[in-house]
Amino acid sequence: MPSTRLVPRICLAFLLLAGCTGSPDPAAAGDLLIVVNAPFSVSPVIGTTLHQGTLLAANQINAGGGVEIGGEQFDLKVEKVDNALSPQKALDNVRQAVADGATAIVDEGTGVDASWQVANEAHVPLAICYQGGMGLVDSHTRPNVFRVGPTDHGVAFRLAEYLVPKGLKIAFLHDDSTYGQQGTIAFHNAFDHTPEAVVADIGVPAAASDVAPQVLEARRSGATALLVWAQGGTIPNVIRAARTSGWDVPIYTAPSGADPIVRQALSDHPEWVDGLTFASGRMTAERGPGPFLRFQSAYEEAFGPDDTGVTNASGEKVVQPPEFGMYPYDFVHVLAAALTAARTTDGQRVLAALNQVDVRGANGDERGFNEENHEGVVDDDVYFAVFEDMTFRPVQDDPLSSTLQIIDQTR
Amino acid sequence: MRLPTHAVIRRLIAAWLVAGSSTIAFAAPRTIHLPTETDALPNLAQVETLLNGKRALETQLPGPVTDREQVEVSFDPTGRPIEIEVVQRLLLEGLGDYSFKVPGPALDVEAAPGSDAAPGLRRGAVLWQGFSPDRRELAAILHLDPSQEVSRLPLAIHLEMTVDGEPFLGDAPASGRFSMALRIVNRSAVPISIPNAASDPVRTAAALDAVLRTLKAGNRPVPGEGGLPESLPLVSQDGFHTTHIEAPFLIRGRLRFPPGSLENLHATGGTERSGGPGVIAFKRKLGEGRSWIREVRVTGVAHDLRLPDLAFQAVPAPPFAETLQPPDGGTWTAFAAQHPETSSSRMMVRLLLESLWRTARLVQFDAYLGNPDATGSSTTTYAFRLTPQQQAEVVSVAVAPEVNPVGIGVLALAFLLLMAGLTVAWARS
Repeated sequence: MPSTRLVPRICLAFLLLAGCTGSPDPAAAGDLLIVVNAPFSVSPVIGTTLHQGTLLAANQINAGGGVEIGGEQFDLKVEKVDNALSPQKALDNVRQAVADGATAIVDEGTGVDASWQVANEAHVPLAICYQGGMGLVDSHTRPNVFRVGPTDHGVAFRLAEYLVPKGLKIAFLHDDSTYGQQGTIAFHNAFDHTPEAVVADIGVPAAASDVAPQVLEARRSGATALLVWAQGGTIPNVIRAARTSGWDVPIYTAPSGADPIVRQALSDHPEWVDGLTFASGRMTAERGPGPFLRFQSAYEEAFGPDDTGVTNASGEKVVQPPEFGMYPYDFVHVLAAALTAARTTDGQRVLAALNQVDVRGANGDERGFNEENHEGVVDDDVYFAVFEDMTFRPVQDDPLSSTLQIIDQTR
Repeated sequence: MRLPTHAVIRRLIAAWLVAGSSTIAFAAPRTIHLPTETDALPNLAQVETLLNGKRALETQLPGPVTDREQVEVSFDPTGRPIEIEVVQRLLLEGLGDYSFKVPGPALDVEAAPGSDAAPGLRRGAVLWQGFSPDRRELAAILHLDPSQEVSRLPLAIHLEMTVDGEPFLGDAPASGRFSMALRIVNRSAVPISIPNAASDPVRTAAALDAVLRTLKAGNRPVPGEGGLPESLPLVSQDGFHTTHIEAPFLIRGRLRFPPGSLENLHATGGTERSGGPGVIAFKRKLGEGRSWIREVRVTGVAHDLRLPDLAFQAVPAPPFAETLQPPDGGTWTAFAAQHPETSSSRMMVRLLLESLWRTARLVQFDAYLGNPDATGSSTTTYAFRLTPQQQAEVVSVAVAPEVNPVGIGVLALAFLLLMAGLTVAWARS
């Protein structure tokens, strides 16, 4: 007969060792790091807005007790790194973020074609919150890449929907930045269905300060409208070239038209900004302006209003509504919801949970992703706004835009 | 004043109970409700919220939604569904945001040609979100799990083909005596409790005549419309009886054998068509209480026969008017005048209720996946096609819990130590 003392001890040892199966959750200690990878040096407005939107969400969540994961509370910590609009720099930043144990990366979009794999190997979600290039996001081939922001595809198709029925002859001007190149792909994807609407397709060097030859070429093509898809700095050059030559052609742009640099560069001729129309993601929703105004109020209370550097005709300071701060803000909240739903910080499970959760976004829209679609802003939500006296308001001749409220931009 | 005795109190309580039961009896319905589509559908309102609580995707629609679905079922040579796709087209009208789920459950989803937006997928449910400027067509192809859908489909198929008595699956050409039996079964019936009731014979007869007129016009009778009342007065009732009521389907199909592959063809349950030898067409109403199964049989001599081309479509269809004719022709009003007895009234009430229940049940199959607009129009066509038998796909489901390989090794070592320890302990005993 086995010893009555030996067997229980052996069995107990067996049971204790049996508890070694199952991967342990990552250590439940310390903060969860979110890295903001953006062009702080080259495009400070974009970088700062993305960083501040991320930080606002993180601070609010921390103030509410942090993120609840499996019964424990975690704080969010935000760090920023400058990509200087360099794909190599952006890739290096992502490598470092992964090495630092980042839980997620908020990215402006430069260099994602290379950096996503580095993050994916570590199961780190990477959220693009500015660039809208087609091909950057694919829920099947790039399972860790998400986007919260208007897509180039959506902007281009909405521009086609808006402009083609007007019977305009469009000259398409695009610069050679990544933004411009990606936009060109989307433009053709949308407008090639109606080739009769496009009379010119003209490339503009992003570094060029004088684009008069290109604008002249557009005018000679018989264009009755200009559609400019370029970084913010190129747009005022196009406007100046057109207006100084006496060409009063309507000008439309991608979201970069709202960049304060456009108004800053034309502050000597504010009347040239009047009528400039851009496409971007709507800031308010059918629920009314309340949610976005609350977000804006919290944003300005934390960081102060984003000063455009210009004033209106009455001398009032013009501020920029934090549209692009809204997108990383929403992503951080979706991330927090996913962490809570996953009940772990394990990257694979968090990535899976990101496909299953929804939150109410800053503008009142439901914000989330799913297994088929990692775009957090639907293409339908692109609206059009027109400038007047250095501020912009939704146009009235577009069904979606006409339902939206004007956001006060003067202080 | 004297206090009531116990006996008095008991009598008072009994009187109160009797009065109460009389009150209950007085509140019993004195009408026979005529069933509508609303009665035939479970209340699915707020299911999204019930299931998902605060994280539910609320349904938001800018206006009415029209739902058009085509359920495409590929079945193998035994009749077993092996692939099921649904092409759903939703036409949204109105200006405003939309967001809703189509429950599925779907294994996968893709936008169908012509869709104004791309669908999302979350835990098998298809998500739609966006803005409608006036109209939006949302079209998706949903890939469903045949093993789950087989019990949900309203029709079941049984197919048996033999050549010289041996099963013929079409995977290799065969020659010899050919026999085929195709059985299509309407399996949509559910038990429904119907009162054994009599009503005013004149009003009942008028209702039946109204139903008959509507059916003859090819429309669905709806209580409250076209001379059909919403209820009938209850004259007497003797309990309930339970009967199985199906949703009738109209089936149209065609069976085509490759030219020269089948001689001396003989078919029952179908008609040879002039589209060429070996083409058999069939058209049937499946349902209406007595015809839940339809069979097509084919015999012949096969010469290098391969799998025939067999396809049919089924649509929910209201009962045939012919099934509701009065026993002696004419109108029900005339019948009621000749047969005022209670038994005739009960027969008419039963016929009326069963016919209206059959019509009401159609709504369940008008929308296979579902219309997010509960009051919106829906139509579904069910298309079945014989497909060569495929090797069943091995679907691996990632349900294995995460296991630490080091932990496994330690566990194995511990087990060995335990066995060794027990062996030593035993040896010492």
